[in-house]
Amino acid sequence: MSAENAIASRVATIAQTTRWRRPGRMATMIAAVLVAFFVIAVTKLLIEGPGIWGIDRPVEWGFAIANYVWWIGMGMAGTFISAALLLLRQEWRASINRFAEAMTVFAVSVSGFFPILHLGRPWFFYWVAPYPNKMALWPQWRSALTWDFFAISAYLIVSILYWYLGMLPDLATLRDAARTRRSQIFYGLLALGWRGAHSQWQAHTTTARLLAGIAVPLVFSVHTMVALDFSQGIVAGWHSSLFGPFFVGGALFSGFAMTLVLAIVLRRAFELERLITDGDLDRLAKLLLAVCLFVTYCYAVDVFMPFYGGDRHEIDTTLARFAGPYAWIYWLTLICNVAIPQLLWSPRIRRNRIALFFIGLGVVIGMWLERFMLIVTSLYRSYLPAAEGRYWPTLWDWLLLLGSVGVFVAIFLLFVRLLPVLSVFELRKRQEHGA
Amino acid sequence: MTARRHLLLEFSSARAMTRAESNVRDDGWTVREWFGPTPRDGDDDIATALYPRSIPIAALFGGLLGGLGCFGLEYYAAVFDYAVDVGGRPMDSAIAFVPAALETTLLGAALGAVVAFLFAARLPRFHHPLFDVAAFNRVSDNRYFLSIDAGQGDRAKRARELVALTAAIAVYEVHDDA
Repeated sequence: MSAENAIASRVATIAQTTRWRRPGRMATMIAAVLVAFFVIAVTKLLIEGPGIWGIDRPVEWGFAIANYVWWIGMGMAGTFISAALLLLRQEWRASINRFAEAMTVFAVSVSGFFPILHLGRPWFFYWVAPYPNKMALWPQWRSALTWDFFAISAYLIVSILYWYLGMLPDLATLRDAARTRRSQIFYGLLALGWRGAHSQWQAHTTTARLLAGIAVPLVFSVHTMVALDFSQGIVAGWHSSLFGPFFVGGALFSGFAMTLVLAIVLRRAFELERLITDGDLDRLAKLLLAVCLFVTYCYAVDVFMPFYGGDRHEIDTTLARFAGPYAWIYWLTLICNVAIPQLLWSPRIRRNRIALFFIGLGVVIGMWLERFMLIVTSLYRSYLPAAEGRYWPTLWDWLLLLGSVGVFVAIFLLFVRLLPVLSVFELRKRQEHGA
Repeated sequence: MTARRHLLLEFSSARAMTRAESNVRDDGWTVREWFGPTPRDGDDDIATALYPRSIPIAALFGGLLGGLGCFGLEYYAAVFDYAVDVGGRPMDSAIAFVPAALETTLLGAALGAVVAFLFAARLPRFHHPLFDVAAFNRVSDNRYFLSIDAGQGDRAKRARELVALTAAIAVYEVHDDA
């Protein structure tokens, strides 16, 4: 059996094994329990309204918005990493691009729940879309929330197209390797009749490159829109022109970390050491470190600017982050996102899978803490001293957060189960070139 | 529609197929198409990176349509159909219309590219005469195929000639209506 052949059958067996081993079954069960949490939390919310959450005046954006920004941030990195490495002709992308793109699609899908659920009357969310209606109303085009709606929708659609287009030749591989009639029909329909003709490959390469070129600016614009949701307001701690790049950097940071975590898990679970190599993890860790430095710089500027600008409220908000009631979250954020990732300077750490796994997980958690910190520490004290309040999550906040993790893991497991987790044709190409 | 006949040659490597292709051409045959499990080397060279041209052109027009369409809609809605005077600020706040229009530009370009891709690659097409050749399902695995116009005359003899010329693993006859 040739090496090329081995890749195909390896990836195809992942997609088509009839039985999970024990860790896979455990993961599925845990995910199922968390999905149940999600369903219960959403049902309760739809019946009783957002009063079940800890939000109140002045902190009206609690977990829902933190979760939203966190999820969509992780959703930025997959498409970006895949598209940027494609444009830069980095063949090592083959070992991570597919599941990173899948991660993007699923994370963005999960993120979309939160702004809708946060609306109060979620069933009217479509009012934000421009459509002819008998109320004769239009969306407020000057609002960042409307821009956000366009950004998320466009991003989700483009990410799905990019992911699916890249998968097309591999779906054909699965179709041709399928043994049962059912899977032949399933993959046959998904593969659209791909034949591997030269004209098809040429069109495929061209389109993949174009979509990559479209996806990179899209990533930057989409997360900038998310940042504008914040900085368009005059709230102290948000009203800063730094927020665009700050949020984009944070998004890529959490997303790279998540990619690293998923790469290590997949590699271990399916014995893919020869396809996702130590060198690939090392490169991913270096990318993570580079983005970490950028995010660190943003944290520094975010502290510097209020003092440079001299606005009393901005300075107070910054000082309250250091020593106020939520200070421990601020410092925990810095530990997870700034201090611990510095270990990645060491080549030994970058070759240690367990260390990489925990550093990645730390960044993912640290980025959630950062979103929470940015939202709550800016809102709990407003310009009016009398309007101060506190926000602490309720059980329903927690169930929704855990539930969203469950939904993500469940969809990801389905993806691993049904679709090619690695890019077979690109791995073949990489092997042909002896990389 | 009259069915056209052509011959399908099977190879075990891209190199064998490339060598065969030039032999076949030198001998005066017409090569119709090439099939394989990976893109061909050189397909991503800068010079030919954006072929067929219809795809980038469709992306351009899709992007223009998406961007101008969205901007036009915003302008119409905010200036004419639903003008709300907020403290005397201008209705035509064009800069605030850019973000949504930017996103729809990129969306339109992506949709344009994908639609053009489907046309260029002639997809979806769930059945194709090639799929009648049992060995062809290894095209997505590790086999390469050349499709050649069969021409006139004694088919069996011509097939034997081709095998001798190209060292192909096998030759199949395909009736194609496209």
